[in-house]
Amino acid sequence: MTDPGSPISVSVDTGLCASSGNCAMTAPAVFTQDDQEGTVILLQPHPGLEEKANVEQAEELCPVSAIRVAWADPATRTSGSKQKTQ
Amino acid sequence: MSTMEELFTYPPSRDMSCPFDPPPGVTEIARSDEPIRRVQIWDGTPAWLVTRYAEARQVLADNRFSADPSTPGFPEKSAAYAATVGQDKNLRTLDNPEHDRQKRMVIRDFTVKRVEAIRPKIQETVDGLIDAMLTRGAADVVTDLAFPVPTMVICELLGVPYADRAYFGGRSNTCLSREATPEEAAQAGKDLYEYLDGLIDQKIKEPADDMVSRLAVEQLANGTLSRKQVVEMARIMLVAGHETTANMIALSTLALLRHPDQAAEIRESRHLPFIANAVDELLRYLSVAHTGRRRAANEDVEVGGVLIRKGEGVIVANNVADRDASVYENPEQLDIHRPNARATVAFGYGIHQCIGQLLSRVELQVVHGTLWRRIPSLRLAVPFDEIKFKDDGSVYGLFALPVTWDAG
Repeated sequence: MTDPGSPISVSVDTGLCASSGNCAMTAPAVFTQDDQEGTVILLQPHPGLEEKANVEQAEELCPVSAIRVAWADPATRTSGSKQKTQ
Repeated sequence: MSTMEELFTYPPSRDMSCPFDPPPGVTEIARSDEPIRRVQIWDGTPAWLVTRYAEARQVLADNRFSADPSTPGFPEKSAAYAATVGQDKNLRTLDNPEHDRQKRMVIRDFTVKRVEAIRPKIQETVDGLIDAMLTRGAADVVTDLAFPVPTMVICELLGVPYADRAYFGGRSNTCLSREATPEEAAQAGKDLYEYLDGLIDQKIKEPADDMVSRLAVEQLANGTLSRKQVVEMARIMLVAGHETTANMIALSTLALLRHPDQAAEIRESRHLPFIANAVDELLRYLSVAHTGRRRAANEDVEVGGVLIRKGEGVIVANNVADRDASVYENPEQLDIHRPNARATVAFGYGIHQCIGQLLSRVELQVVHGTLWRRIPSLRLAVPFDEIKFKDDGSVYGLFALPVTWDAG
């Protein structure tokens, strides 16, 4: 659920979005898709910590890097896969 | 462009004593200090081969690399491709902005919500096919399960009659084959074109709730797509929508028969996220679209310290990138518990990442979530070394997978 005090801040760029659906598959509580064009709809810009792993993986998987996850405390950050790629 | 040194010819043959692994020659390049290397393709044209995960994703995400086979330097997959599929202007070959414009016309059939909505229908299809297998008492997984599942699903989605599967299936196989002559491939492509062109006439007269009807009644009628564009959209959906998943179902079933401990875990699981992870790992491990993603540079671009010049071709060996040890621990092993299996680039990356990836995943999840539970004693009906692998086209797979099980 949305947590106003959450250190997680998610943003999406619908202009870049390629409608792949990776985010809605990986973090369905945070992302969904427009029914017609498949583009990302951000349900929770500040998801609770229980979504941390999912939103990080969604950011990592997005094939056009349209998702950004920012952290109030970068030290809490872990990565979905071993190597972080841009 | 000439060189004195002999270039590596891509793709080389696999080592059939390790039929689930990419060709050793390409894996060696990936592990060398020259993982981006000049190679040559079937007609002697040189191209850059990209073998590691980070650079594979970099190239596929960079729109300065064109997916359009008419771009100078484009390394086409085969003479047959050059004669047919590569001539198409469709989602596979269009660059932006046209790619995204056309993709938006069909994406509603592939969203997470839409694909989840048809999961029960896919379950019903798989249950029916397994019932029939059990009734007969023996089966070939390729013809009795692997091809029917995605073919039925894509036919329903497109509005193509399933009864015509022998007609379009044979021709689509010819188009994808490395063995087909350019003439055979061109004829098969033309047959498919005419078949789908005729289907559009039918849909205009009697529209139904399917993709071809919508393209005919909406996009064709209002002029946002030409008739040729509608046919090419339908053709790529039909060909890409059944060959890939079909071969993946057959090959993944065989891989699990060779890893019975992991098959047993899938059989015992009722947890969909676990099955989904197992499917992602099978996609990574087997990577059936195995002849690389092809691109040509529209500008000079530096990749991994190598300058790729405008007009040069690039082949991204995504199957080998998915064995990159800097991303995946013990990449040569099938491990359905792998925590980052979903990072697979089996479906590609960037704007051309497979439009049907969610649908394909759900089909595989339903197959493996059902098959091992319904037929717990499933086993090969022939020795493993008699299994014939389909290595003649752009999709890796099996010609047949004879299986048996304990009666009762």
